[in-house]
Amino acid sequence: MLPKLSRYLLVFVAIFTMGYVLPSIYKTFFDVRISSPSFSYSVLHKKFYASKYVDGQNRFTDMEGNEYTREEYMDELPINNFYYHLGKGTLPDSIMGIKLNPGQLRQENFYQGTAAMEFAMPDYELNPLFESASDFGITLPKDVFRVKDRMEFVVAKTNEVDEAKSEEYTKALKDKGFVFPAKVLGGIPSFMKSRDDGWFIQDSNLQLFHLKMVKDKPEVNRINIPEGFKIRKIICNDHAAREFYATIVTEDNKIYLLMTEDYNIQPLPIEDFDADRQTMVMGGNLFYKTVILMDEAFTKVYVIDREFNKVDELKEELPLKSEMTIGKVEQFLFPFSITLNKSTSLFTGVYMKKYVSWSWAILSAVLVIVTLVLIKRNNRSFKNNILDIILVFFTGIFGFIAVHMFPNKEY
Amino acid sequence: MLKAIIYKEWIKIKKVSLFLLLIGVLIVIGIYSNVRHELIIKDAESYWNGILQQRTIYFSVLKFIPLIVGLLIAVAQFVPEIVDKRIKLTLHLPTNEETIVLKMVLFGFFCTASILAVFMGMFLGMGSYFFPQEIVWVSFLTTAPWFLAGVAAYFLVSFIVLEPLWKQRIFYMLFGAAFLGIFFKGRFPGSNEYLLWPFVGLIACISIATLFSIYRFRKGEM
Repeated sequence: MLPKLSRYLLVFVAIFTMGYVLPSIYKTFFDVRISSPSFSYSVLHKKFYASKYVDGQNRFTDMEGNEYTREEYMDELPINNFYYHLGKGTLPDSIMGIKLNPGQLRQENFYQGTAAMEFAMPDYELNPLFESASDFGITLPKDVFRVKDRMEFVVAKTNEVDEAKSEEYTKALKDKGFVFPAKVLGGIPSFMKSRDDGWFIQDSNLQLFHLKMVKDKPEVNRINIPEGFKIRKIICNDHAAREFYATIVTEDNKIYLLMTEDYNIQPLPIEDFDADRQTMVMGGNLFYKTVILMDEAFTKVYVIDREFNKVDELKEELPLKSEMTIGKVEQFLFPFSITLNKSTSLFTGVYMKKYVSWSWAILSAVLVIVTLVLIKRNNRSFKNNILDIILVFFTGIFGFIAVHMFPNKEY
Repeated sequence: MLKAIIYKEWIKIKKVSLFLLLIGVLIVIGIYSNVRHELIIKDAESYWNGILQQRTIYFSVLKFIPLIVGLLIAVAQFVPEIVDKRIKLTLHLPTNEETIVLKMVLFGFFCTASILAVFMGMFLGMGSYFFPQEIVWVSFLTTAPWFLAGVAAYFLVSFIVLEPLWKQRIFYMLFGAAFLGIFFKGRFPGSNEYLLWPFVGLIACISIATLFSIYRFRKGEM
């Protein structure tokens, strides 16, 4: 009995391993690149343009299908490509009645991107609190902080808690009504930034606070937020325009900007963001902001004006691998596939993909027949091999290799 | 009987176990000597920043050590058994042969796990002297699959060594290499948090694999 059990356990592990290894080998040899177009919105013509990499060349089009040369494309999008026009001296004097000032264009221009995996990644939950009013640029502090039952600073040199500083900052937060522990923290933990705006911390009562270290002293501001505002991620920036401190994504996948001037929570008119699956790229200039949502199936672009109204939107479906030859052959060969890493998370796990199509059943049926022939040829009884046959049918090529690698011999 | 088995198995793996224990202890001491050196010659906060923000792994040298431990202990324990088919003697003892083999494997597993536990204990203990608990915890999550790979290697190699046919052995080696590869797929410190229990489950599945080899051996597969 035990040897039989040990065999089936080995077969199970082999099916798991094959389910991971074979699809991965298949993808290594046959995977294809899907290049998603890059979309830009022209302030001049109030329409979208696309730049796409096809057959080793960049192709430039508008949404009506008209093709452009690179020079024409640059001319259609003077604000998006203002560095090019500045260099050539072809930047228009004004657009939409607004005089174009290169310094202002530079300042208002920004770009930020957040991939889905940034919402699912391991975190040490230890961060540096920089001096926000430093006279000598931004340097690494001697300690890092955690916000659990209180705010604690751990000094790197000694690996000990700085009690005095911890008390001081805990008290400063408590005095403003902060309830420990913290739920979400947002800040820029790197010293490679133009300025420091400290940290935004949501407490366990869903209140939001802004904490900075100014001349070695804590400075805490409480931010008014809507009731039940459950923050998932606070994405801070150091954009030159200082228009907003951070982009806030809530648990219900809504996107807000935390405005610098008055701590206003400004909603963006975007309804179909899915932080678990999509990459969000936001860009801005003097006239508009564009928010691009990208996943495997589509790219969606929203254009938003300075008053945060939606001006235009575009959705472009992308070719799905499952509908291409590579995907169809994959679904014929494998009943499922297992991966340990996925593009939308930095956590490893057993990620099993079950295919929608049943085309794998054809190969499974063939493999069942081959197994039956082999059983007959070796004069083994069908009765003793029923479980093997069922396994081969439901796990296809993985089960076929596994049950034959660990032969079910009757002695 | 158990005492006799333990004595017999210990004679086979004593030297290699003590040697591996020594090497592992020296490697862990080496890791933290290097950390101490870095903390002295660099600013401690920069070194911490490298770990916390740039996700530097300061203990990469540890990666394949547990795997080597499991592999060598299994080889030391079971290769002597297949030389001149000495395992036959064990299987002819007047007691249940499956129980004997399981006891042999259990003892080997106990030695492998004990050596690895000493490494892990030292690694985390010394780590908590230099680093806060958050870094120690992430270090544990990062290294745990490597240590589990050591245990998996022990079970797999025992099973492969005892397999009577060379043709099958080659298939099993390929399968074993692919299987052990999955323990090293984490690409980010702390990323294996959700994979540890599935790994433990898979190891439990192969823990009695030796019985399959012994069954084939006993039935005359040569």
